[in-house]
Amino acid sequence: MATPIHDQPILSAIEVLRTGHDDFADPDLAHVAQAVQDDPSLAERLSRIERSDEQLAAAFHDVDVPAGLEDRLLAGLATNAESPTSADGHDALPSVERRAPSNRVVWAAVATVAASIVVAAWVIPRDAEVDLTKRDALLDQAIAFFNNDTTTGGTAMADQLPPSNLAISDDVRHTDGATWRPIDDFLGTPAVAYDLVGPRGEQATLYVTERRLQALEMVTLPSTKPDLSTGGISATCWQNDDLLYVLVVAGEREQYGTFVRQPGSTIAVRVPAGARFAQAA
Amino acid sequence: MPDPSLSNEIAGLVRTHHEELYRYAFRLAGNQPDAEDLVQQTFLVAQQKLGQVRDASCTRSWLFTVLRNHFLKNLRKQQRVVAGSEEIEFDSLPDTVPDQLDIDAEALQLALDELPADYRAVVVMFYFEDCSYKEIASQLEIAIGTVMSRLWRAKRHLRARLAPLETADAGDKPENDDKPENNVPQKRPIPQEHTA
Repeated sequence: MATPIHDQPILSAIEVLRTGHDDFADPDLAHVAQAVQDDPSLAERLSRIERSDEQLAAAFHDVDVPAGLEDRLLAGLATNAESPTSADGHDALPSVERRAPSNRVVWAAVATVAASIVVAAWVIPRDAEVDLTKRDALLDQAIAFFNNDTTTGGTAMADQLPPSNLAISDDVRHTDGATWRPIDDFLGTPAVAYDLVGPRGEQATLYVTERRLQALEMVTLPSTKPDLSTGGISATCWQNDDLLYVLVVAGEREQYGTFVRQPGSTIAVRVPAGARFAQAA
Repeated sequence: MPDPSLSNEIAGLVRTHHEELYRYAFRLAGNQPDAEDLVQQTFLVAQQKLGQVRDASCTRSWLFTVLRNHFLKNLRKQQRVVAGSEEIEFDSLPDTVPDQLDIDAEALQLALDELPADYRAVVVMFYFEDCSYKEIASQLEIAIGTVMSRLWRAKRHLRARLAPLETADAGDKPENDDKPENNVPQKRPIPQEHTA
């Protein structure tokens, strides 16, 4: 009668052996090889594991590839390569209509020196005039600030990066030509404003400030639809660790959508070669 | 035809690898939109950083790594909890290894989706990329013992979910059973609540 296998380390170790490979040649698995040699029931078990592994490995690759995927991927890459204009008016990827945090690309390219709007930091409501713990109130204040800010100018990202503690979000893809401006007082706290222009000329500003809002605890990515759209301005916000990001786009929901939901989706921050971060604010 | 603004290199990369990358992404993410997102992300990174890959023979492996890292990073950002992942009692899973598995693509994906993301990454690397346990440990920056444990548990879970409903023990076969329908393995029903 075969001895029941109770040695869990051995049982777990034989699971890592790959069919078609000489994994027993691994000196760290020599004890496993010896155990299999000594115990016929273990050898039988290994044989069955290998058969099921073969089945599973084949099944893992059994996935239908959606039609047109290659074309969509190439279209997204072409848009990325060319930057602003795209003759193709539709998304390269199927749009996924969800408000929950999801992976989206926010495209930004500074085409010209636009009337940049500097936005200051975001403030925790100390005086309780507005309940900024609520997202709508927060965004309403941000839009008001955006409308009233007439500051112009900015530093090109290629010349110097902003303070490292208020770096542009990893969820925003920008070109080397993006500009930034420090804000001494954005509703009470310091911030950095990034002035952005979308592929179709949409104007937007991303405000980054060190602030943590409980209401945004689970909102860690920008939304493809604005959380608030009023008076021709649309906005969203999200939180990552101790940084609050507020994106304001000059336009209605449609302009916000074309700004945010660009072909290709990814999240990458390209640091200009040779650029160095400024001292932390 | 690829856009002329794209380099031949990147267009060729897409042509060569997009299907396999998509399949890999689908097994990780579990749905088409997320899988496409992951593949697009990967190629966008490749468009920027392909020059960093010194050895062309490593390109495929590099692409898989980029995709997998995006998957794990996105999950951490979204703080997504896979439905049922916290309910899998791995230690209660049957330890038997069926003679044969009854696999269909949907059932496999359902079983994968039930696994915690970190377990899923390990088992997908094992079956899809054919990675050794040491390669998995290195890529995911986890201990070898952790790889072994997760792989063992994940495989047990997959085998339990994909085993035929009536699985014969090793060496036991029905006698004098001439009815064909009795020899067709039935799929184990997917329980509404995962208890093991």
